[in-house]
Amino acid sequence: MNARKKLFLLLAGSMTAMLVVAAACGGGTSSSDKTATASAGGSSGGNTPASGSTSAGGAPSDIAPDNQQVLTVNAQAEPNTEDPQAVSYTYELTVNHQLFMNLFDQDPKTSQLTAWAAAEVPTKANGDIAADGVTYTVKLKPDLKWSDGSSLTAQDFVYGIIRGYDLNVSGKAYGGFITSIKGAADALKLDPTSATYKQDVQNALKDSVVAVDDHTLKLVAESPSNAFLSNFTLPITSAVKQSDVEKQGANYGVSSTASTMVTSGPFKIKEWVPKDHLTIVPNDQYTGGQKPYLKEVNVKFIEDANQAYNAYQAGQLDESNIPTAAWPGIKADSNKKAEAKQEEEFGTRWITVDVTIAPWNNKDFVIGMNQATDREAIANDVYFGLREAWTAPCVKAVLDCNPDAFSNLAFNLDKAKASIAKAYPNGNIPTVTLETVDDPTTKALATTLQAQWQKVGVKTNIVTTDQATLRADMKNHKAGTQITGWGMDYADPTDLWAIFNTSSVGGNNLGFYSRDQYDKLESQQDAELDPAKRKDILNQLQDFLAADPPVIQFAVQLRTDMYKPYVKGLVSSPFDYINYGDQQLVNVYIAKH
Amino acid sequence: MTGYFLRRLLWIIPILWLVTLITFGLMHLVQGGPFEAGSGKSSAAARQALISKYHLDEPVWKQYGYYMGDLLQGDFGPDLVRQGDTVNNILGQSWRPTVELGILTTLYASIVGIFLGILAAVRRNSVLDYLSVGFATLGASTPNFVLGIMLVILFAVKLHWLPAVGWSDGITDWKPAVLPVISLGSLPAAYIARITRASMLEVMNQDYVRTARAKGLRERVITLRHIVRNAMIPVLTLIGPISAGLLTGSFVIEYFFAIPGIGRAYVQAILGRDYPMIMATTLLYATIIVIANLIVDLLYAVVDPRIRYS
Repeated sequence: MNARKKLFLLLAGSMTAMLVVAAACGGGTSSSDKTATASAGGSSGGNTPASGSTSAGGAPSDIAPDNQQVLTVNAQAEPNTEDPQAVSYTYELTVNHQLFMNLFDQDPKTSQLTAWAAAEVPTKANGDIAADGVTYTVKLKPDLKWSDGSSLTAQDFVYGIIRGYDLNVSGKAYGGFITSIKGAADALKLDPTSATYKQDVQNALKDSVVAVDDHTLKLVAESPSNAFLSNFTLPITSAVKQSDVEKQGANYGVSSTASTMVTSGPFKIKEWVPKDHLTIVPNDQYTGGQKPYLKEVNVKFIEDANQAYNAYQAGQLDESNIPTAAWPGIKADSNKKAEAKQEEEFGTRWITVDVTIAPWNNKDFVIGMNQATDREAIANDVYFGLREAWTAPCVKAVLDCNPDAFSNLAFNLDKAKASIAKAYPNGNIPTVTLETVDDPTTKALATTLQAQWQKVGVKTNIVTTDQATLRADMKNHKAGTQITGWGMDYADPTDLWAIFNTSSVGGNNLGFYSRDQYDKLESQQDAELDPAKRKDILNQLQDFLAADPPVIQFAVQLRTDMYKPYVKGLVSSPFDYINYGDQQLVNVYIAKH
Repeated sequence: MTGYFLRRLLWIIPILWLVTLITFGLMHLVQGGPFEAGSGKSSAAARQALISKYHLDEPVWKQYGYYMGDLLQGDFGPDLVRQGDTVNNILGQSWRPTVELGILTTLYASIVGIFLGILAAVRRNSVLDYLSVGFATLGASTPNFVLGIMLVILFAVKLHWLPAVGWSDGITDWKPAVLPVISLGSLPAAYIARITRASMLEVMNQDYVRTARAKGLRERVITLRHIVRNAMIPVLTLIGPISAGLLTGSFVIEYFFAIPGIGRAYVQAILGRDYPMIMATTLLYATIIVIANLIVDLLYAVVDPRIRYS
């Protein structure tokens, strides 16, 4: 009995002591002591390109040894899936883009379409776009392989593209997003609960997505479309291996089966620990381009932005987003600032307004509220420079974006008062509601807007809620406003301008903006293949939006990340689906340090 | 005793059924659903197709019927956020860190709390007492996430001694557990310390303690054999509910420290309106609390022979 009590006291004392001493005994994982596991890189070794791949032209001179080629990044949330036809969010797409090849990719610097699995991009000049303007022939690179060593053929792309129209798979992701393939509209009308649904989808698309032979695909558009080929950069059009999909059934792409997933991209999944991290390693069989230098990429799922930044500072991450509140301190510290990279994204931020309900159904009021919004103050005081003040819905880099067209919406209190007086001559302006999610930056934005709009006599009622409630309130015409924006999937302007179409109402058109003239212009700009004529239509379209705006535009998104100095070779991409760096991480390496 | 135990066990069934009914009703009263526009890039038709597939467009009572039918077969249903995965599978993957965090925190809170409580009582009105009371007051008044932030900044960011995020892979990888356990355990440790101190002081004034001193027993023997033993009765009965609370109340800490546990899944499920996951986690937590309360009631009889159940 005495002995037991002694043990108890000893335990109590030692536990307390241990907790104090424990902290002093060692550090978190530092990047320098990270080593790849023995088989992490597979047997490829080095960066010798396989047959048919593009040579890297030799490894960089400052590259660290293979056992240090481990990159740890943060995805900001756990992917729900890595099934290419079911991925939707940035934290899913970023990883997925390393795992599965598309027919085409986009140059992260020029935004031009590049061939990936395809041998070249079809053009009229190379004869791969037929005279009818709707039939495309896509030749695949020779010797494409799956990660299990089997051949990747045109039929695999047919299977993947058509599978993207199975709303039981893609309904929560990009399902219904690509409507320009001939037969797509019919496929999307089918009943997903029908017993013959899969077969019916195939039948709807059987003449427009065709494997001519193992290395040649025929794709048919509904009508001539500038954006048609850009759709085949999206993961929903990736090839997937049919036998693998059928073997895993409903579990295809989820964490429990991910490590056995047959992939076609430069990486494959080594392990996926739910809610913690997933690890990707090079796919030895990859022949679609240069092989990666990295031997392992650990993708962590840290949702709290401040904690991710703390983990970066503690040496647990090689990359991190920057919490808004931390940015002024980083800018003031030259060492930290040197690790930060800031680049304009193909994305803008705006406040969607429900144009079917008062006061937003009055276009003069919407113009007035745009003019009452001091974007510089928002960029500086709310985002501390993590966003750039911007008045147009498109960023400069988007083809034929004409920011000058939106100059009438620039901040000007006198004009704002006049516009609002025009909308409500008797001065009885209804109180507007601004529903926001419960995070400090968004709430700061809401209170700033409230103060700014007060200056033109508009009272704002701020309601704090969660994202799902806000979406439901928008759907039910209760909220009236939603702070949102658009990150572009590809560089063609159709990706942006189509979301204000009537056909996008209930989907990405959250403000129920529906204008016949706009629909007509938007449709024409995609179909007009002559660049000069298209530019003219796009100018008309932007003039239309400036005169009858669907949103209160306020900023351009700036991607601002921290990278450890030894992470080299990153080429930032402006697109919506990339969290960090180079499109495929193949150029990224850890330098000697 | 056996009859009492069996009756209490049987009562669990209607309690859990009520939990399913109330949770299901409240869940569907809240605005929004798992397939709202704006949460992805799919079309309105695609979303409607999913709503129909999961019967979310049918009356709530009918949906409840489907749910209970599956539940009675041990199936918590499909996960609506991670399509293709099941709630059973996700819970199977997530329980370990939550249970480990709960057990470690209970141990930490109990050991530190009891140790400080005894120390404060034995050295009443000394510096040690003031320090212990100070710790208890600080622990009780500092929210666990605030303490977590301070600990992370000090031990992870500034000193690089401990990781800022993550969870242990096994017993040899104990460092990631230190900060979450201290953050989560300080409030209950403070509570236990205060109760232990009060209980110790009460027992120290009992006649049998004076008798023991009069008999000439050594102070250490008196403290350990006569005071601590009797003072522990109210403390032990507290540890049951505290451990249930720690097992089920670690949402914030799991989210903050990116611990891959059920608490984090619960928060994500609520934000994403993942109905089957909300139901499953609520039921799981309700079961833990009900069972923990039953164990505590039974423990009363074990630690205090005067209590008998019939």
